[in-house]
Amino acid sequence: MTTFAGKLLRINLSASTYGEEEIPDLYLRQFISARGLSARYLYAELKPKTDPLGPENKIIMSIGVLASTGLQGFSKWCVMSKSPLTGTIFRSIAGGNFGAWMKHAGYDLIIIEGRAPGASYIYLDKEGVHFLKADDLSGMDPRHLQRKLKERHGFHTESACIGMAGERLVRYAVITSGERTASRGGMGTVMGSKNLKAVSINVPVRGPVPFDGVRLKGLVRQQISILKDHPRRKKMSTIGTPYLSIGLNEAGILPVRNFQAGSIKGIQDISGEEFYKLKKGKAGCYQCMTRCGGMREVTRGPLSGKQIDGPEYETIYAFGPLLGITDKSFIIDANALCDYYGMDTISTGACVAFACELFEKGIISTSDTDGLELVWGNKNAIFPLIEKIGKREGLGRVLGEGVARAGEQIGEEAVIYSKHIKGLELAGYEPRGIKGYALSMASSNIGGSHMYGRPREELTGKVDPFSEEGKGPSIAQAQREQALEDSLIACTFGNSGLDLMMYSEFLTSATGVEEFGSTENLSRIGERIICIERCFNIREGFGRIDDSLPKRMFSEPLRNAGPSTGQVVKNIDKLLDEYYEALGYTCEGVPTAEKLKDLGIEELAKEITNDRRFLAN
Amino acid sequence: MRIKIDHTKCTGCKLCEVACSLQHTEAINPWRSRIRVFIGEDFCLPVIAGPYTEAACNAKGIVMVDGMEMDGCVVCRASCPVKTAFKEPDTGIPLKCDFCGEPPDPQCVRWCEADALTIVIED
Repeated sequence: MTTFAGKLLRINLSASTYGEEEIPDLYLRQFISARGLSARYLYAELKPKTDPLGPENKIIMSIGVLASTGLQGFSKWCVMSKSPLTGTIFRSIAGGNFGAWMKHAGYDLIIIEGRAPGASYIYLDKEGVHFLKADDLSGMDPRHLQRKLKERHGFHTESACIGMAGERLVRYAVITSGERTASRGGMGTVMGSKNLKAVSINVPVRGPVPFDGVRLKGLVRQQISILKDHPRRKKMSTIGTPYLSIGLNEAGILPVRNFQAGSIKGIQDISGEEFYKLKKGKAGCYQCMTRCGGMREVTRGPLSGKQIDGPEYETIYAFGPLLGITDKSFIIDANALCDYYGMDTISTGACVAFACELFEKGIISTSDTDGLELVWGNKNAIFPLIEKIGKREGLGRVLGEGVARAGEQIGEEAVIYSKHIKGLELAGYEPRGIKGYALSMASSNIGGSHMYGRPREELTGKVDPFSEEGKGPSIAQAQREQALEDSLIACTFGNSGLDLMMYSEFLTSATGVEEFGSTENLSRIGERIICIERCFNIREGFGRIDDSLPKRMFSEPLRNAGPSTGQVVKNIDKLLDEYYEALGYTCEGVPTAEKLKDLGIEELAKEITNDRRFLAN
Repeated sequence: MRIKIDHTKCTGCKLCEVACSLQHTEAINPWRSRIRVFIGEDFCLPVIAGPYTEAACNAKGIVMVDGMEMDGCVVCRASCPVKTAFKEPDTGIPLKCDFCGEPPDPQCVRWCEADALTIVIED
């Protein structure tokens, strides 16, 4: 017995066919589940230079091996695809119930390929997969859509769906499940390009049967007693991620006005405590006692009067300081508007900030913005602009392409103001003030994500955040651990106080695979995952030159940023060299043949070893 | 002795379902739990499995809880022929809370973080 389902469901939308496949044991041992396993399949199945929005691209939805076992905070699910925003491999992780439902349906992965001829959705029940028309659901927002699908297929139905932004191919559309989203990288856009409005599942709950049930039950008890009293988890459960804003502002690493400064006046108005006062209820994921989400009331826009889960810290950053705003109710309303259209709040905020900076510098004027005065902090102009992006009208048409493409379209003078890494808009940590993050984001295989390896020691002040010495190995380790956590999937918030040792005990008792008992092996699995993701990107033509930061980070000292004032990233090359060395890559950022062999994926990644272009230097 | 439910305190984390399942079943499966939490748009309602009834009742309909309209079937504690909750999913055997532990120490109450479940001892 094991909690691996050992099966995947392959759905072809072009032909309206589906089938089950066994997942070989080796894959599970090498990549466990979720992010790792998806990366393995995507690397093997996607041809290089596939159009992310073409029918050849695939979406892989996956669920972790420890989901629905009673362990708390392990039931998030993962979407992987080639991103229309970055052109790299991309993983996005979402909460809610949908993942557990995939597990109950008996699959580790669902691979969706092809393109449906017209608007459609998939419904999966005990009888199998049903391909259904979605003409009447087009344009519907995720909240109403999910309710509608529950009415149609039963209250127990859980869906992963897209909103209008996904249908209209805004490049950073999200996939929504319950109140939670797989936010970054335009996973919803890929779904939209396949004319797929939703994937719905209604199957009976069947907890997977673990290898050693008695031991796992003991571990569940142990985990719950650790979590119950852990201060960080308690903070997550009450205030949630908004608690970060004050601390990051003090450290001067809260990006303000499109990365012009590192702290903002009036931060007290958008502190965790202030948002806590507005909290009306809790929201969270399947089998998680933390329930870090807070329900808050919306006052403006199409969801006015309703409650939404949010905002999280990243949303506060993107619709607050990044736009020069410190108004909590505006942040909630903008969050709700993005939820309504189904767009990533970070990327949306970054696109609006980009437009505001262009307006400030006189590169665009009211004639380009349909009369909107895009001055920093002008809420009455910013709110309609978000709406325009969601509908892809006027300026929203170009901003919906993401800052990298928008910059190129507007012109050379605009490019320097677009803040992105590999096309992905930066998350809410100022890289100049925390060099570990600078390296982690620059080297990330998915672009400017805050969840690709968090420099925990720098964030907690144990290591000097300004030093550029010795960051390579610690970031490499953070990325390995993150890759492993994303493959279980262990939620970063819901699992405070747990370590690799504990994860390895969970894994062995759930699956019976002895190799998982060694934390060293688990680290290696993490390394294998980032390595195969890197191989994917190298095949797409990415290299060292793309592992970089926006130019402003090198040339413009950080202003108005408390202790971080005056910081720049001095020597990205040195940081990268150390990082590549720690992971066994060449100085071009390509895994060496020995490394691939050592990780046991030389056969899988033979395109990399066989092609001399990749191995130059 | 009874378990008092304060639904206004419930956060919907469903730890009670896991705790119950930990106590009573070999693998954890909330559908085999003797307590279930029903989550609506703006409420969380824990319901503890009560007695089995052989026949479906004819008093189904809307009931009011704190001024909220709710489906009577959802708030009902009974395991009955028309309801899927409080039955073993495979066999259909009815489930009922047994105040587990000796002396009674119901696991759901013990694990509840929000104090939505408390033990009340009455004479």
